[in-house]
Amino acid sequence: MKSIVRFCLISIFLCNVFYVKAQRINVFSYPDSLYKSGNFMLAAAEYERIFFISADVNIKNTALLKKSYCYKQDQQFDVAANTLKRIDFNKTTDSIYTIVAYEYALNSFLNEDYNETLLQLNDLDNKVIDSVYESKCLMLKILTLNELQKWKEATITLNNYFKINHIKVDSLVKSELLKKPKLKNEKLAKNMSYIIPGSGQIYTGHWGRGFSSLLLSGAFATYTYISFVNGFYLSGVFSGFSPFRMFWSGGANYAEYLAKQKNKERISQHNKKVKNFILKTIDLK
Amino acid sequence: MRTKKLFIFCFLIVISYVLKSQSNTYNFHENITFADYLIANNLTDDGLVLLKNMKIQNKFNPSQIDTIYYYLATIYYHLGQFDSASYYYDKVNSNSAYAMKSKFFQVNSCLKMDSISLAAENLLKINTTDTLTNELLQFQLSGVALLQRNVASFDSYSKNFTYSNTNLINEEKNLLDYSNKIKSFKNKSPFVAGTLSALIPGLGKVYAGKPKQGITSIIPIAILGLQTYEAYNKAGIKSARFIIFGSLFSVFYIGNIWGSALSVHIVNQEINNEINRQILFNLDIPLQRILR
Repeated sequence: MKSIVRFCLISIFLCNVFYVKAQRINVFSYPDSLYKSGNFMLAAAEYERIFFISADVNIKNTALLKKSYCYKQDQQFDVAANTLKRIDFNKTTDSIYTIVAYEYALNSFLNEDYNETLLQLNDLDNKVIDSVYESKCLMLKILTLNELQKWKEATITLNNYFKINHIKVDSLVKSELLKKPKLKNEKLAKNMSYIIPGSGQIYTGHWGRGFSSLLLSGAFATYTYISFVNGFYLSGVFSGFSPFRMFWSGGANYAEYLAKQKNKERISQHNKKVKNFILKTIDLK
Repeated sequence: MRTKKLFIFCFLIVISYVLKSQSNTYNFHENITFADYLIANNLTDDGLVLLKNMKIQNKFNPSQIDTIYYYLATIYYHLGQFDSASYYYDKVNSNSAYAMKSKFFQVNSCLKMDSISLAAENLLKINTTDTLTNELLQFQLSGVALLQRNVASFDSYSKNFTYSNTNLINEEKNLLDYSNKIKSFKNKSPFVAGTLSALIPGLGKVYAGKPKQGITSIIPIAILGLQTYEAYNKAGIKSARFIIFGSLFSVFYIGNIWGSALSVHIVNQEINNEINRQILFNLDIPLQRILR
C-alpha cells in the first residue's frame, strides 16, 4: 500500500517537473513541424496562437520571430518586417535583439526599402554583436550601399568585410569588385538631346530611337520653315513648331530616362557580381 | 484502500492533463476565442488559415460548423471579398445562433456587389418577431428601395421608422435626406449638352459640370479652325492644306459634340454612384452596431 502511494507521489512530482520543462521546449514543436513541411501560412497562424496564449515575453518574442520566417519564406517581406516590429525589444536578450534587427534589415532589403535597411544596419553598428551576425550585417550593408549608389561607403565596408573574415583576395579581383560601375551621365544625355535631337539616345546606346527622334524633330522643323516661307504662319506655329517643341523637349527627357535605365541595369550587374563573390566566400569558409 | 484509489485518480488526471497539453489539438472553444483575437487585431490572413484548417478537419458538429462558416464570412466581409462572404453567410444553417446575423450580412454583401435585386429578394425572406430586428429589417428594405430608386416603396417602408432607437436614429434620418435628394435631383440632358457644344465647342461640357474640360476642349478646335481658315484664305478650297485641316477640324468638332453628350451621362452616373455609396455606408453602420 505504502509503496503504491509513494510511487504515485513520485510520478506526479516528476510529471509536473518534466511538464513545466517540456512546455518551454516543445511549445514550438507543432508550428515548427508545419514550417519544416512547407506549410508556412498555417505555421504562421500557430506561432500567432503561441503569442496569444503564452504569458512569457521571451516565448512571445520567439513566436513572432518564427512567424516572420514564415512570411519571409512566403515572399511577403513587408508583412515579415511588420511582424518583427511587434516584438517587445525592452524585454529581449541582446542575442535575440541582434537576430531580430538583422531579420528586419534583411526583410526591408528584400522589400527593396534600402533606406530602412541602412538605418537598421547603422543602428546595429553601435551594438556589440557576435561575429556571425557581424559578417552577415556587413554583407547586407555592402549590397544596400551599392543599391543606394553610395560607392565610397560600399568600398570601405567591403574592405572591412575582407579584414573581418580574413579573406585574402587577388588584387585583380579586388580592384574589379571595388571599381565603381561605369555609369552614363544622365544630365549629359538630356543636354545632348537638347542640342541635337536624338543624340542623347544614341549616347545611351539606343541608335534606332535616336535616329527616329532626329527624323521626327527634323520633319516638323522643316514643315515649320516651309510654312513660314509660304506665309502660312498659323500652320507654321500650331502644326509645325508646337509638335517640334514637344518632340524636342520630350526627346531630351526620354534620353535622360534611358540613361537612368541603363545605369540601373549596370548597377544591378555590379551588385550581382559583388553578391556572387560574397556568397562564394561564405561557401569557402 | 480509499487513499490508494485517490492517489491513482490524481496520477491519472495529471497524466491526462500533461498528454493533452503536449498534443496540438485545441478544442473548438479555444479555436474560436483565438479567431476572435485574430479578427479584433486585424490578423485576417491568420484567421482565414485557422478557420479553413478547422473546416477541413471534419470533427465538429453541425452547430460548430455553422460557427466556422459565420467567422469565415465575417473575415471575408472585413477583407471586402463580398462574393466569398456571401457564399459562407449563405451556408449558415437557419437553426444556427448566427442565422439572423448571417442573413442580414449576406444582404449587405449582395448590395456591395451591386446585386440589388438579389438583396431585396433575400431581405423579403427574413421573418422576425423581435421589435428591434424588425425595425432593422424595415430600415434595410427602405435602403434597398432607395438604391432601386423606388421612392414610393421607400415611403411605405420608412413609415415604420420609430426614430427612437439610438442605433438607428441618425441613419434613418440620413435615408430620409437621400430620398429627398433623389426626388429633387433632375438628370441633365445629353441633347442640350450636344446642342450647346455645336454652338460653342466646350460649352456642353461646362453645362455637364466639367468647366475645365470645356475650356481645354475648345483650344484644339479653335487652333484647327484658325488653320483651316488660313488654308482656305491663302490656298483655296481645293488645296491639300484646306482638305487636311478642314477634315481634322470636322473630326474634332463632331467628336466634341459627342463627348459633351457622353460627359452628361458620366456626370449623372457619378452623382448617382455617390448617393448609392452614402446609402450603402448608412446601411452598414446599424448592422455593425446591432448585430456584431
